Amino acid sequence: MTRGKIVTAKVFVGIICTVLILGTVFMTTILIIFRNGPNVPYELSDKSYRNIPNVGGDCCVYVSENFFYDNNLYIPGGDDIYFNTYGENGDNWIVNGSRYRNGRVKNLKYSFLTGSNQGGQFDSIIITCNPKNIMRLQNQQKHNGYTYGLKVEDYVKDSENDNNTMEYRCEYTINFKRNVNTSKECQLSMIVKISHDKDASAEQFKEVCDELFFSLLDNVVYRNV
Amino acid sequence: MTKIKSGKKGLIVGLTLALIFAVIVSVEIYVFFCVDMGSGNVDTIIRYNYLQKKTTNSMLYLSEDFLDDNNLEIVPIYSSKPDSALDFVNNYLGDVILEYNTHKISTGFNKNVIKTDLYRYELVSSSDNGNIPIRVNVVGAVGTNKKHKYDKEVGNGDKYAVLDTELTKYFTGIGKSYEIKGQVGKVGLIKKYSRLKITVTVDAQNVNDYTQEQIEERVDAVLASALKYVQRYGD
Repeated sequence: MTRGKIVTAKVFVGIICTVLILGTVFMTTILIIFRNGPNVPYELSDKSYRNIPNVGGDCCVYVSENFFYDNNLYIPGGDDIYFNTYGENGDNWIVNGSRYRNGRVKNLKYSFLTGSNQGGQFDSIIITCNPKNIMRLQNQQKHNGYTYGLKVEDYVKDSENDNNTMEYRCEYTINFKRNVNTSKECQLSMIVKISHDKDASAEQFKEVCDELFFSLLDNVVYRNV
Repeated sequence: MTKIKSGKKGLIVGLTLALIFAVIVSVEIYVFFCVDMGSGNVDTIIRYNYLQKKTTNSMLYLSEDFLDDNNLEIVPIYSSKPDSALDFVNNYLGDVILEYNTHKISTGFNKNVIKTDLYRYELVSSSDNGNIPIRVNVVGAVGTNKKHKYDKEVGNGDKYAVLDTELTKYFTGIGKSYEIKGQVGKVGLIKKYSRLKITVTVDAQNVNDYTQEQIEERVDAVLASALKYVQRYGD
Protein backbone atom coordinates (compact mmCIF):
# COMPACT_ATOMS: atom_id res chain seq x y z
CA MET A 1 0.00 0.00 0.00
CA THR A 2 1.46 3.33 -0.98
CA ARG A 3 1.69 6.29 1.36
CA GLY A 4 -0.84 8.19 -0.72
CA LYS A 5 -3.39 5.39 -0.47
CA ILE A 6 -2.92 5.15 3.30
CA VAL A 7 -3.56 8.87 3.69
CA THR A 8 -6.65 8.59 1.50
CA ALA A 9 -7.93 5.65 3.59
CA LYS A 10 -7.32 7.56 6.83
CA VAL A 11 -9.11 10.62 5.53
CA PHE A 12 -11.99 8.45 4.31
CA VAL A 13 -12.37 6.70 7.69
CA GLY A 14 -12.02 10.05 9.45
CA ILE A 15 -14.84 11.51 7.37
CA ILE A 16 -17.08 8.48 8.04
CA CYS A 17 -16.38 8.66 11.79
CA THR A 18 -17.05 12.41 11.87
CA VAL A 19 -20.32 12.01 9.98
CA LEU A 20 -21.41 9.18 12.27
CA ILE A 21 -20.47 11.06 15.44
CA LEU A 22 -22.32 14.18 14.28
CA GLY A 23 -25.21 11.98 13.13
CA THR A 24 -25.40 10.27 16.51
CA VAL A 25 -25.36 13.59 18.37
CA PHE A 26 -27.98 15.02 16.02
CA MET A 27 -30.23 11.94 16.24
CA THR A 28 -29.97 11.83 20.02
CA THR A 29 -30.88 15.52 20.29
CA ILE A 30 -33.82 15.15 17.94
CA LEU A 31 -35.04 12.01 19.68
CA ILE A 32 -34.81 13.61 23.12
CA ILE A 33 -36.83 16.59 21.88
CA PHE A 34 -39.44 14.37 20.21
CA ARG A 35 -39.44 11.74 22.91
CA ASN A 36 -42.88 10.40 22.07
CA GLY A 37 -41.86 9.33 18.62
CA PRO A 38 -42.79 10.73 15.27
CA ASN A 39 -45.96 12.73 14.91
CA VAL A 40 -47.76 9.89 13.25
CA PRO A 41 -51.47 10.25 13.81
CA TYR A 42 -53.22 7.38 15.47
CA GLU A 43 -56.26 6.12 13.81
CA LEU A 44 -59.13 4.22 15.22
CA SER A 45 -60.34 2.65 12.05
CA ASP A 46 -63.90 2.85 13.31
CA LYS A 47 -64.95 5.93 11.32
CA SER A 48 -68.37 6.29 12.83
CA TYR A 49 -69.67 9.52 14.33
CA ARG A 50 -69.71 7.94 17.79
CA ASN A 51 -65.98 7.45 17.62
CA ILE A 52 -65.08 11.13 17.19
CA PRO A 53 -64.63 11.83 20.93
CA ASN A 54 -62.47 8.71 21.33
CA VAL A 55 -60.09 10.04 18.71
CA GLY A 56 -60.35 13.73 19.58
CA GLY A 57 -60.02 13.29 23.35
CA ASP A 58 -60.27 16.23 25.73
CA CYS A 59 -58.99 18.89 23.32
CA CYS A 60 -62.32 19.51 21.60
CA VAL A 61 -65.98 19.90 22.35
CA TYR A 62 -68.49 17.64 20.59
CA VAL A 63 -71.95 17.84 19.10
CA SER A 64 -74.61 15.62 20.66
CA GLU A 65 -76.50 13.29 18.33
CA ASN A 66 -79.65 15.08 19.47
CA PHE A 67 -78.63 17.91 17.15
CA PHE A 68 -79.12 15.72 14.07
CA TYR A 69 -82.48 14.33 15.15
CA ASP A 70 -83.78 17.72 16.31
CA ASN A 71 -82.95 19.30 12.94
CA ASN A 72 -83.71 16.41 10.61
CA LEU A 73 -80.09 16.03 9.53
CA TYR A 74 -78.28 12.82 8.72
CA ILE A 75 -75.62 11.55 11.08
CA PRO A 76 -72.22 11.72 9.36
CA GLY A 77 -70.03 8.67 9.00
CA GLY A 78 -67.11 7.29 7.03
CA ASP A 79 -65.87 9.77 4.48
CA ASP A 80 -67.95 12.59 5.99
CA ILE A 81 -65.56 12.76 8.96
CA TYR A 82 -62.07 14.20 8.76
CA PHE A 83 -59.24 14.73 11.22
CA ASN A 84 -56.29 17.06 10.87
CA THR A 85 -53.05 17.22 12.75
CA TYR A 86 -50.71 20.14 12.96
CA GLY A 87 -47.48 19.36 11.25
CA GLU A 88 -45.68 21.39 8.66
CA ASN A 89 -48.58 20.81 6.38
CA GLY A 90 -51.59 21.36 8.62
CA ASP A 91 -54.05 20.20 6.01
CA ASN A 92 -53.04 16.58 5.80
CA TRP A 93 -56.07 14.37 6.11
CA ILE A 94 -54.98 11.59 8.38
CA VAL A 95 -57.94 9.30 8.80
CA ASN A 96 -57.69 8.07 5.26
CA GLY A 97 -54.25 6.64 5.92
CA SER A 98 -53.72 2.92 6.02
CA ARG A 99 -51.86 2.90 9.32
CA TYR A 100 -53.87 1.37 12.09
CA ARG A 101 -53.35 2.01 15.79
CA ASN A 102 -55.55 2.65 18.79
CA GLY A 103 -55.44 5.91 20.60
CA ARG A 104 -55.93 9.61 20.54
CA VAL A 105 -53.95 12.48 19.20
CA LYS A 106 -53.30 15.71 21.03
CA ASN A 107 -54.49 18.93 19.41
CA LEU A 108 -56.44 17.16 16.73
CA LYS A 109 -58.89 19.12 14.64
CA TYR A 110 -62.00 17.32 13.47
CA SER A 111 -64.56 18.21 10.82
CA PHE A 112 -67.68 16.53 9.61
CA LEU A 113 -70.15 17.09 6.86
CA THR A 114 -73.89 16.65 7.16
CA GLY A 115 -77.01 17.86 5.42
CA SER A 116 -80.77 17.60 5.44
CA ASN A 117 -82.55 14.29 5.31
CA GLN A 118 -84.94 13.93 2.37
CA GLY A 119 -86.59 17.16 1.30
CA GLY A 120 -84.70 19.38 3.72
CA GLN A 121 -83.55 22.89 3.01
CA PHE A 122 -79.86 22.65 3.89
CA ASP A 123 -77.47 21.72 1.09
CA SER A 124 -74.57 21.08 3.38
CA ILE A 125 -73.40 21.82 6.89
CA ILE A 126 -69.76 21.56 7.84
CA ILE A 127 -68.89 21.59 11.52
CA THR A 128 -65.29 21.88 12.66
CA CYS A 129 -63.69 21.93 16.08
CA ASN A 130 -60.18 23.29 16.19
CA PRO A 131 -58.13 23.31 19.42
CA LYS A 132 -55.29 25.28 17.85
CA ASN A 133 -55.04 28.33 15.60
CA ILE A 134 -58.02 29.98 17.24
CA MET A 135 -58.97 32.91 15.03
CA ARG A 136 -60.42 36.18 16.22
CA LEU A 137 -64.21 36.29 16.01
CA GLN A 138 -65.30 38.56 13.18
CA ASN A 139 -68.56 40.53 13.16
CA GLN A 140 -69.42 39.56 16.74
CA GLN A 141 -73.02 38.74 17.68
CA LYS A 142 -74.61 37.77 20.97
CA HIS A 143 -77.21 35.15 21.88
CA ASN A 144 -78.16 33.84 25.34
CA GLY A 145 -74.84 34.86 26.84
CA TYR A 146 -72.80 33.38 23.97
CA THR A 147 -70.62 35.58 21.77
CA TYR A 148 -70.02 34.30 18.27
CA GLY A 149 -68.69 35.52 14.95
CA LEU A 150 -70.81 35.53 11.80
CA LYS A 151 -69.94 35.85 8.14
CA VAL A 152 -72.66 35.80 5.47
CA GLU A 153 -72.34 35.57 1.69
CA ASP A 154 -74.83 35.16 -1.14
CA TYR A 155 -73.43 34.35 -4.56
CA VAL A 156 -74.19 32.67 -7.88
CA LYS A 157 -73.75 28.97 -7.24
CA ASP A 158 -72.19 27.86 -10.48
CA SER A 159 -71.48 30.84 -12.66
CA GLU A 160 -70.55 28.73 -15.72
CA ASN A 161 -73.44 26.26 -15.86
CA ASP A 162 -76.30 27.18 -13.62
CA ASN A 163 -76.42 30.87 -13.04
CA ASN A 164 -80.07 30.87 -11.99
CA THR A 165 -79.23 29.31 -8.67
CA MET A 166 -77.74 31.27 -5.84
CA GLU A 167 -76.01 29.91 -2.79
CA TYR A 168 -76.52 31.42 0.63
CA ARG A 169 -73.55 30.71 2.87
CA CYS A 170 -73.24 31.60 6.53
CA GLU A 171 -70.33 30.81 8.77
CA TYR A 172 -70.63 30.86 12.56
CA THR A 173 -67.63 30.72 14.85
CA ILE A 174 -67.53 30.42 18.61
CA ASN A 175 -64.93 29.57 21.25
CA PHE A 176 -65.49 27.02 24.01
CA LYS A 177 -63.37 25.81 26.87
CA ARG A 178 -61.87 22.50 25.74
CA ASN A 179 -63.05 20.65 28.84
CA VAL A 180 -64.08 21.32 32.43
CA ASN A 181 -60.55 21.10 33.79
CA THR A 182 -58.86 23.72 31.64
CA SER A 183 -59.08 27.33 30.57
CA LYS A 184 -57.64 26.49 27.15
CA GLU A 185 -60.08 26.97 24.33
CA CYS A 186 -61.10 25.33 21.12
CA GLN A 187 -62.96 26.96 18.27
CA LEU A 188 -66.15 25.50 16.90
CA SER A 189 -67.36 26.65 13.52
CA MET A 190 -70.37 25.82 11.42
CA ILE A 191 -70.73 26.61 7.72
CA VAL A 192 -74.24 26.30 6.31
CA LYS A 193 -75.04 26.37 2.60
CA ILE A 194 -78.53 26.77 1.17
CA SER A 195 -79.30 26.90 -2.55
CA HIS A 196 -82.05 29.25 -3.63
CA ASP A 197 -83.60 30.75 -6.71
CA LYS A 198 -82.14 34.03 -7.91
CA ASP A 199 -85.44 35.77 -7.39
CA ALA A 200 -85.80 34.74 -3.75
CA SER A 201 -84.64 37.17 -1.11
CA ALA A 202 -81.61 35.98 0.83
CA GLU A 203 -82.83 37.64 4.02
CA GLN A 204 -85.16 34.76 4.92
CA PHE A 205 -82.27 32.30 5.07
CA LYS A 206 -80.48 34.16 7.84
CA GLU A 207 -83.24 33.21 10.26
CA VAL A 208 -83.10 29.55 9.21
CA CYS A 209 -79.32 29.45 9.68
CA ASP A 210 -79.51 31.25 13.02
CA GLU A 211 -82.01 28.72 14.33
CA LEU A 212 -79.74 25.88 13.33
CA PHE A 213 -76.76 27.51 15.03
CA PHE A 214 -78.70 28.13 18.24
CA SER A 215 -79.70 24.48 18.21
CA LEU A 216 -76.03 23.60 17.83
CA LEU A 217 -75.20 25.70 20.88
CA ASP A 218 -77.78 23.71 22.87
CA ASN A 219 -76.12 20.49 21.82
CA VAL A 220 -72.45 21.15 22.47
CA VAL A 221 -71.10 18.62 24.99
CA TYR A 222 -67.78 17.61 26.48
CA ARG A 223 -66.32 14.17 26.22
CA ASN A 224 -67.69 12.13 29.09
CA VAL A 225 -64.85 11.72 31.61
CA MET B 1 6.62 -0.84 6.46
CA THR B 2 5.92 0.42 10.00
CA LYS B 3 3.84 3.22 8.55
CA ILE B 4 1.87 0.71 6.47
CA LYS B 5 1.13 -1.38 9.62
CA SER B 6 0.07 1.77 11.46
CA GLY B 7 -2.23 2.66 8.56
CA LYS B 8 -3.93 -0.74 8.68
CA LYS B 9 -4.37 -0.44 12.44
CA GLY B 10 -5.99 2.99 11.98
CA LEU B 11 -8.30 1.58 9.36
CA ILE B 12 -9.41 -1.26 11.70
CA VAL B 13 -9.94 1.15 14.61
CA GLY B 14 -11.86 3.52 12.34
CA LEU B 15 -14.08 0.76 10.98
CA THR B 16 -14.72 -0.58 14.50
CA LEU B 17 -15.74 2.89 15.66
CA ALA B 18 -17.96 3.27 12.60
CA LEU B 19 -19.60 -0.07 13.43
CA ILE B 20 -20.18 0.95 17.06
CA PHE B 21 -21.80 4.24 16.01
CA ALA B 22 -23.95 2.44 13.46
CA VAL B 23 -25.13 0.03 16.18
CA ILE B 24 -25.91 2.96 18.55
CA VAL B 25 -27.94 4.76 15.89
CA SER B 26 -29.80 1.56 14.99
CA VAL B 27 -30.64 0.87 18.66
CA GLU B 28 -31.85 4.48 19.13
CA ILE B 29 -34.03 4.29 16.05
CA TYR B 30 -35.49 0.98 17.22
CA VAL B 31 -36.11 2.10 20.81
CA PHE B 32 -37.59 5.51 20.01
CA PHE B 33 -39.58 4.72 16.90
CA CYS B 34 -40.44 1.04 16.94
CA VAL B 35 -41.02 0.18 20.61
CA ASP B 36 -44.18 1.32 22.36
CA MET B 37 -42.75 2.90 25.48
CA GLY B 38 -46.11 3.50 27.09
CA SER B 39 -45.74 7.25 26.96
CA GLY B 40 -47.82 9.78 25.10
CA ASN B 41 -51.51 9.58 24.49
CA VAL B 42 -51.67 5.94 23.62
CA ASP B 43 -54.75 4.09 24.76
CA THR B 44 -55.09 0.38 25.26
CA ILE B 45 -58.19 -1.66 24.64
CA ILE B 46 -58.66 -4.74 26.78
CA ARG B 47 -61.30 -7.38 27.39
CA TYR B 48 -63.76 -6.63 30.16
CA ASN B 49 -62.62 -9.75 32.07
CA TYR B 50 -59.13 -8.30 32.45
CA LEU B 51 -60.20 -4.92 33.76
CA GLN B 52 -59.56 -5.43 37.46
CA LYS B 53 -56.37 -7.38 36.88
CA LYS B 54 -54.96 -4.60 34.70
CA THR B 55 -55.90 -1.66 36.87
CA THR B 56 -55.30 -3.29 40.29
CA ASN B 57 -56.65 -1.89 43.53
CA SER B 58 -56.57 1.85 42.90
CA MET B 59 -59.90 1.97 41.12
CA LEU B 60 -63.59 1.48 41.81
CA TYR B 61 -65.68 -0.89 39.71
CA LEU B 62 -69.26 -1.84 38.99
CA SER B 63 -69.80 -5.51 39.68
CA GLU B 64 -71.05 -7.87 36.99
CA ASP B 65 -74.31 -8.29 38.93
CA PHE B 66 -75.20 -4.78 37.79
CA LEU B 67 -75.16 -6.01 34.21
CA ASP B 68 -77.24 -9.09 35.02
CA ASP B 69 -79.83 -7.28 37.14
CA ASN B 70 -80.38 -4.53 34.59
CA ASN B 71 -80.24 -6.74 31.54
CA LEU B 72 -77.23 -4.92 30.12
CA GLU B 73 -74.52 -6.02 27.77
CA ILE B 74 -71.11 -4.54 27.24
CA VAL B 75 -70.50 -2.84 23.88
CA PRO B 76 -67.51 -4.48 22.19
CA ILE B 77 -64.99 -2.30 20.39
CA TYR B 78 -64.28 -3.27 16.81
CA SER B 79 -62.07 -1.88 14.12
CA SER B 80 -62.10 -2.47 10.41
CA LYS B 81 -58.98 -4.34 9.52
CA PRO B 82 -57.92 -4.66 5.88
CA ASP B 83 -58.39 -8.27 4.82
CA SER B 84 -57.38 -7.75 1.24
CA ALA B 85 -56.92 -4.81 -1.11
CA LEU B 86 -60.70 -4.36 -1.29
CA ASP B 87 -62.27 -6.04 1.72
CA PHE B 88 -62.24 -5.15 5.38
CA VAL B 89 -63.08 -7.42 8.27
CA ASN B 90 -64.29 -6.46 11.72
CA ASN B 91 -61.51 -6.99 14.18
CA TYR B 92 -62.52 -7.38 17.83
CA LEU B 93 -60.22 -5.25 19.97
CA GLY B 94 -61.79 -5.64 23.40
CA ASP B 95 -64.40 -3.91 25.54
CA VAL B 96 -62.67 -1.39 27.78
CA ILE B 97 -60.43 1.52 26.88
CA LEU B 98 -57.57 2.26 29.25
CA GLU B 99 -56.23 5.77 28.95
CA TYR B 100 -52.67 6.60 29.78
CA ASN B 101 -52.11 9.48 32.18
CA THR B 102 -54.11 11.94 30.14
CA HIS B 103 -55.04 14.06 33.09
CA LYS B 104 -51.59 14.24 34.64
CA ILE B 105 -52.86 12.88 37.94
CA SER B 106 -50.35 11.03 40.05
CA THR B 107 -51.81 7.54 40.00
CA GLY B 108 -49.84 5.96 42.79
CA PHE B 109 -49.63 2.83 40.66
CA ASN B 110 -46.55 0.79 40.37
CA LYS B 111 -45.38 2.05 37.01
CA ASN B 112 -44.04 -1.35 36.16
CA VAL B 113 -47.58 -2.67 36.22
CA ILE B 114 -49.45 -0.09 34.20
CA LYS B 115 -49.67 3.66 33.82
CA THR B 116 -53.39 4.04 33.50
CA ASP B 117 -55.43 6.74 35.13
CA LEU B 118 -58.80 6.18 33.52
CA TYR B 119 -60.87 3.37 32.07
CA ARG B 120 -64.11 3.55 30.16
CA TYR B 121 -66.66 1.20 28.71
CA GLU B 122 -70.26 1.26 27.59
CA LEU B 123 -73.26 -0.93 28.31
CA VAL B 124 -76.54 -1.14 26.45
CA SER B 125 -79.88 -2.82 27.13
CA SER B 126 -79.45 -6.30 25.81
CA SER B 127 -82.95 -6.96 24.55
CA ASP B 128 -86.36 -5.46 24.13
CA ASN B 129 -88.07 -6.46 27.35
CA GLY B 130 -90.53 -3.61 27.42
CA ASN B 131 -88.19 -1.17 29.12
CA ILE B 132 -86.88 1.97 27.48
CA PRO B 133 -83.56 1.10 25.80
CA ILE B 134 -80.69 2.71 27.66
CA ARG B 135 -76.98 3.24 27.34
CA VAL B 136 -74.72 3.28 30.40
CA ASN B 137 -71.34 4.92 30.15
CA VAL B 138 -68.93 3.88 32.93
CA VAL B 139 -65.72 5.79 33.64
CA GLY B 140 -63.42 4.75 36.46
CA ALA B 141 -60.52 7.00 37.39
CA VAL B 142 -58.05 7.68 40.16
CA GLY B 143 -58.48 10.81 42.25
CA THR B 144 -61.63 12.86 42.64
CA ASN B 145 -62.95 15.94 40.95
CA LYS B 146 -62.68 18.97 43.22
CA LYS B 147 -65.49 20.71 41.39
CA HIS B 148 -68.01 18.04 42.32
CA LYS B 149 -69.94 18.03 45.56
CA TYR B 150 -70.00 14.48 46.90
CA ASP B 151 -72.77 15.15 49.37
CA LYS B 152 -74.91 12.02 49.10
CA GLU B 153 -74.09 8.72 50.72
CA VAL B 154 -74.24 5.18 49.39
CA GLY B 155 -75.16 2.35 51.78
CA ASN B 156 -71.54 1.25 52.26
CA GLY B 157 -70.37 4.72 53.30
CA ASP B 158 -69.06 5.87 49.92
CA LYS B 159 -70.11 9.35 48.89
CA TYR B 160 -71.51 10.37 45.56
CA ALA B 161 -72.33 13.53 43.63
CA VAL B 162 -75.48 13.98 41.60
CA LEU B 163 -74.13 15.74 38.53
CA ASP B 164 -77.51 16.31 36.89
CA THR B 165 -80.72 16.98 38.71
CA GLU B 166 -82.65 17.01 35.45
CA LEU B 167 -82.26 15.36 32.06
CA THR B 168 -79.14 16.67 30.34
CA LYS B 169 -77.75 16.33 26.85
CA TYR B 170 -74.86 13.94 26.36
CA PHE B 171 -73.03 12.90 23.21
CA THR B 172 -75.34 9.99 22.38
CA GLY B 173 -78.59 11.24 23.85
CA ILE B 174 -80.17 12.61 27.00
CA GLY B 175 -79.78 11.36 30.54
CA LYS B 176 -78.18 11.91 33.92
CA SER B 177 -74.88 11.29 35.59
CA TYR B 178 -73.68 10.35 39.09
CA GLU B 179 -70.12 10.28 40.31
CA ILE B 180 -69.15 8.04 43.22
CA LYS B 181 -66.14 8.77 45.38
CA GLY B 182 -64.63 5.89 47.30
CA GLN B 183 -61.55 5.36 49.42
CA VAL B 184 -59.21 2.86 47.83
CA GLY B 185 -56.23 3.05 50.17
CA LYS B 186 -54.26 4.99 52.73
CA VAL B 187 -50.66 6.18 52.65
CA GLY B 188 -49.76 7.27 56.20
CA LEU B 189 -52.50 9.66 57.17
CA ILE B 190 -53.43 10.46 53.60
CA LYS B 191 -56.46 8.66 52.24
CA LYS B 192 -56.46 7.72 48.59
CA TYR B 193 -59.71 8.13 46.70
CA SER B 194 -60.96 7.11 43.31
CA ARG B 195 -64.07 7.98 41.39
CA LEU B 196 -66.59 6.13 39.31
CA LYS B 197 -68.77 8.13 36.96
CA ILE B 198 -71.94 6.51 35.73
CA THR B 199 -73.94 8.17 32.99
CA VAL B 200 -77.26 6.70 31.93
CA THR B 201 -78.76 8.00 28.70
CA VAL B 202 -81.49 7.26 26.23
CA ASP B 203 -80.21 7.47 22.66
CA ALA B 204 -81.20 10.55 20.68
CA GLN B 205 -82.99 8.42 18.10
CA ASN B 206 -85.34 7.01 20.79
CA VAL B 207 -85.97 10.22 22.72
CA ASN B 208 -89.11 11.18 20.83
CA ASP B 209 -90.69 7.75 21.43
CA TYR B 210 -91.12 8.44 25.14
CA THR B 211 -92.17 11.27 27.41
CA GLN B 212 -89.57 13.13 29.44
CA GLU B 213 -91.14 11.67 32.61
CA GLN B 214 -90.78 8.10 31.32
CA ILE B 215 -87.17 8.70 30.37
CA GLU B 216 -86.35 10.33 33.69
CA GLU B 217 -87.95 7.51 35.65
CA ARG B 218 -85.99 4.87 33.75
CA VAL B 219 -82.70 6.76 34.04
CA ASP B 220 -83.16 7.40 37.77
CA ALA B 221 -83.97 3.73 38.40
CA VAL B 222 -80.80 2.51 36.67
CA LEU B 223 -78.62 5.08 38.44
CA ALA B 224 -80.08 4.13 41.80
CA SER B 225 -79.42 0.48 40.99
CA ALA B 226 -75.78 1.23 40.04
CA LEU B 227 -75.06 2.62 43.50
CA LYS B 228 -75.62 -0.84 44.99
CA TYR B 229 -72.96 -2.47 42.86
CA VAL B 230 -69.86 -0.38 43.49
CA GLN B 231 -66.98 -2.61 44.43
CA ARG B 232 -63.22 -2.64 44.87
CA TYR B 233 -60.55 -4.99 43.65
CA GLY B 234 -60.76 -8.24 45.60
CA ASP B 235 -64.39 -7.79 46.72
